[in-house]
Amino acid sequence: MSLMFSSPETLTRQFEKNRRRVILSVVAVFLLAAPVWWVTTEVYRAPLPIADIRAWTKPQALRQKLAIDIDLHFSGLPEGQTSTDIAQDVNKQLAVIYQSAEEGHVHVDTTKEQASAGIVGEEIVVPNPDVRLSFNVQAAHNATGPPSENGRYSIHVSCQSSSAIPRIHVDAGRSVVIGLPHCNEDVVQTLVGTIAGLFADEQAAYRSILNPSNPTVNTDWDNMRTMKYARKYQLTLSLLVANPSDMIVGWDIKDAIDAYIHPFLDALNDISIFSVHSQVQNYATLPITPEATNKDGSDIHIIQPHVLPQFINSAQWNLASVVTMAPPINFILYIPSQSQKPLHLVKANGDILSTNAFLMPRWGGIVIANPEANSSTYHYDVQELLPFMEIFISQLRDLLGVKTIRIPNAHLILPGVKITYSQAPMTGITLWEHDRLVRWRTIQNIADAAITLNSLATLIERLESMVVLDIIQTQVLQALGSLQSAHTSLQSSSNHTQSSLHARAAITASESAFFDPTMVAMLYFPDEHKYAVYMPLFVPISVPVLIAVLREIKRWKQGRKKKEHAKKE
Amino acid sequence: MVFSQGHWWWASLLCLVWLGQAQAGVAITDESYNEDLRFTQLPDGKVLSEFKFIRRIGPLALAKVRDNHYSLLPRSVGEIVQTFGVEELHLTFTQGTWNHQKWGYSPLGAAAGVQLWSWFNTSSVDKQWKGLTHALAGLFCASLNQIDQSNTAQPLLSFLPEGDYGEELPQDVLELRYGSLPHEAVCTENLTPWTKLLPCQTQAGIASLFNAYRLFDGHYHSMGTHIRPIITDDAGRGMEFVQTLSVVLNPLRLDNRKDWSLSSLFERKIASACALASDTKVVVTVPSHPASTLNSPPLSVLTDSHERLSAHYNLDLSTPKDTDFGVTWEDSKVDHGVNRSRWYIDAHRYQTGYGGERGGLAVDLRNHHPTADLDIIYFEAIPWYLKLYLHTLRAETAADASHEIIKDMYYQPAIDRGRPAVLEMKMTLPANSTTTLHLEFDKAYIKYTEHPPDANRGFDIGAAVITFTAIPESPPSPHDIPPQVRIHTETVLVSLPTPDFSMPYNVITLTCTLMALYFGSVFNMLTRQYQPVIVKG
Repeated sequence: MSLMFSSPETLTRQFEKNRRRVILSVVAVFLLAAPVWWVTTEVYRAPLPIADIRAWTKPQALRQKLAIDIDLHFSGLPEGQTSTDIAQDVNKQLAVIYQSAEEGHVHVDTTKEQASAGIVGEEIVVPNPDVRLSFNVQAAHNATGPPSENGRYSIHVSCQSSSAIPRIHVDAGRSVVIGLPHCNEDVVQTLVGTIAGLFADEQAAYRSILNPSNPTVNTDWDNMRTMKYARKYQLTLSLLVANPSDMIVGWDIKDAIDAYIHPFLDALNDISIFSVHSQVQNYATLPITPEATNKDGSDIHIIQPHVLPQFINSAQWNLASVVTMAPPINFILYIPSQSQKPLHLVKANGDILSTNAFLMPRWGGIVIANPEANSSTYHYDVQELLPFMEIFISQLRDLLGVKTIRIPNAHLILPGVKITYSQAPMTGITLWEHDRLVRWRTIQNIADAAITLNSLATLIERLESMVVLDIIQTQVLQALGSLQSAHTSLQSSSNHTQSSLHARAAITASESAFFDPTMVAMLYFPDEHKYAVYMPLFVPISVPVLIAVLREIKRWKQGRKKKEHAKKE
Repeated sequence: MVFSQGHWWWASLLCLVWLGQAQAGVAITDESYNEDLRFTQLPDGKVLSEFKFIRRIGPLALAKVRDNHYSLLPRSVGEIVQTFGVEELHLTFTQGTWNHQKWGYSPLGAAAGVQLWSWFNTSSVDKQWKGLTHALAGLFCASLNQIDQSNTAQPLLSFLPEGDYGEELPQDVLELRYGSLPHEAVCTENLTPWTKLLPCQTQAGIASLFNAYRLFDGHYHSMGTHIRPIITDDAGRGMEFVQTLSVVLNPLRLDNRKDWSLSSLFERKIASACALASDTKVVVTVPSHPASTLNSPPLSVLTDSHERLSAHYNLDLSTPKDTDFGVTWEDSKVDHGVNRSRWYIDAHRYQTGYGGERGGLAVDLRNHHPTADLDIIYFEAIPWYLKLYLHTLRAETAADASHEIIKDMYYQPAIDRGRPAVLEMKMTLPANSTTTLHLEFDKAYIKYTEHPPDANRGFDIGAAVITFTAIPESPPSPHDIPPQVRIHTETVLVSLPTPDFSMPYNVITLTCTLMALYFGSVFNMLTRQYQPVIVKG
């Protein structure tokens, strides 16, 4: 009723009030709805501890200390010398060599004179400040058996050796026996030289892990051969026969593997586990043609070193497995056809390679055999397979990163000392080599896990619309936790077995996070698509609202001006 | 090298080894490999070539296989069998449909596309089945990984174990899975990995005839991989691994003559016998007719009661390389081919219904036997997107209506995206009659992401399988016929309602425009003032 009688001015005023309310409420709804819309269309990204991950790439984060405990046993030590004093002196000198390495190269004192004589660069260098072996040499008084844990070694010094020249014997079981005719001040030098020498290569190897681009590191070639670490490898031994119509070849491979390969693999089962397969393949043709040539009056076929990379016929030879994801290591015994026999590998200078074998870095090893063709069949029994198994084991050592323990430049460090090394027992690997491999893999796994996590963080930061599931977060946290435990257990104790387990857990968790199938899937809605879909709704709605808002502001400003004018007047 | 010096430990090893050898003695091999190739000229002049590569692995070799030491058995196959607990495996890749009416029966006939069935000896069958299909997909470069729960069936009667299990009843302990991909195109990329499993690959033996250009140019092509357990002579458990390939080629197409030879069919000759095969047999079966001449003198010739002549050849390393088996016909018009043994039953399946919603299947089952009623088992696995109505199932026969045709029935309804509908029936087909099965279904409207890239082509429904026990002809055929005979119907192409795939965006745009219009007008109504304009005149 009242409306009917109200004047047009009142109506307009009321309407303007209403209009303002409408516009304000529409804008309010828009503003309130925007966060809801934002949240409901957002991709799920579990938060990752990016800062913690980045912290592991800083050099000081990877600074490790590898503690090595050495027990000294003396027999027949002359009066006036105590084993404790000797141990202290040895400790001091080793600390000088291995710990003040920040400046770079430190030489073992005894070699100074010779080093200046022009053999610089061949002495012991301890170049890596990041991963450092730290020795704790102590005198042991009660005789115990050989140490049973990684990182603890014993040295037995006998001061009344019957032979005139000093002798050092490196045992297969974590101990060294030093026989000296008499113990004078030289005993400290001998001990320092022995310990520093035995661990020198190991110390140098750590440098290349953390500085892979460093060109001065001479162990790079070794590392390029070595397989990337995996918890499980698949070993495949293949007998490839080029032409079975010349000769059908068989082998007693099961017994040979049980006798020669398995002891070696069992010794490594705390690092990796191996499943060993074997197969026979016939009509395995080479993708390359060997050169026919005449040497010493007999016709032979040779393969030059530069064509060896093409030796593997990966299109024809069934070497891959369809059921396992474990990295494969292949060993091939190749029997050439009658028309290509005898087939030999030659060195670059044309000499025939006596082993007739070569190693494919990070792939496996190949041996060529030329059995005598007396009948249409040939069977390799276990004894005949022995030389091939020896080659395969030495190739396997290279592929897995087993390094022979030697004192480098022994004639310079320990002049006039006769050094002997125990051979590997039936396993094909000594405890010294095994321990070193465990420590090396630990450091490498820590470094690799840090790098993998870092790449993951970079990837996730780059691709903003990528989904990151909770499982990735859990794995990343696990990896970080294991990295931390590995680091702490290295710093606080000499329990290398424990830290190797942590390092392994770290690399496993970080890799499974990085290679998770959900990370690879690119099925997500990029922002451009989102906007394209909403454009037909947002543009026609927002234009009238925006115009109305602008007009309202304009009107409001005009209204204020008018009021001010009115006031002034 | 370390090892050149360390003789003593090797020496001690040798002692061990020597002891071990005394036990093992000379290497005993209980593996055997045979090749078998049969050529048959069919009544319409086409030539059927059946290749069989048979490997029998004895208990000793099988024990080595369990330790992952392979010699005759390919490693990839052995690994699959062991990893997934497979007791028996039958996988066929087939292009084209076997023409029962014209060509008779072939033991190597298979459903078009990929057909896989396997008996498992393991507890978690579904997981192993998934692993198996994925591993086989990788091995044969096929999309076998698309066999998932939604197209896997468990037939009760149609696919009984074919292996030799001795006393035990395998069905009680083993579990069966069946899957098929009717739309799978079989090509060279499947043949190549398959031939790589052969002991002599394609370099020697009858496999040297494999010329992919010719093999895939035929009317029918089927390659099979079969694994089954066997009991060897010394009563040990062994394994038989058979690879089969059958191909129907048409010599008439080129020069309108029925003459054929290896070089005309395959453009190849057998290079040499495979050195690993203990026995390589080639059999040429032609009608016994004076107009035909065999190209090379056979070892022996047999004539059977059906006037068929089979020439047997044996290949070994001394066989000359240019042997070109084949048949020459003096009179090219001779209308003779081998009438292969008919099994009295054939089947023909087709689609009924109309429109995009209702559809139906009809199957003509014919029993040609003049006097005997024959028992068959009919099996069909129909994908879930065809909603079957079981009450519409009816069997019509022209014969006496008093016959009860469906004796027993097993039906498992489908679950959407979970499993197919499985229909398995024991039927008795009256003598000399045609029985027609009718079944109706609705076509589901599936999600637009569930359509294949070529959505308008339609969906292939896998072949129905008809299983029966063969009545032996008199005298019993010399062929090694399995106790159960299986024939397959055609696949059926069903077109489902197909959306316009640009529709989601159209819908969004249309809805948004409507919303915008509505909002705009309401907003304008609320924010604009309408008042009478007073015109002062």
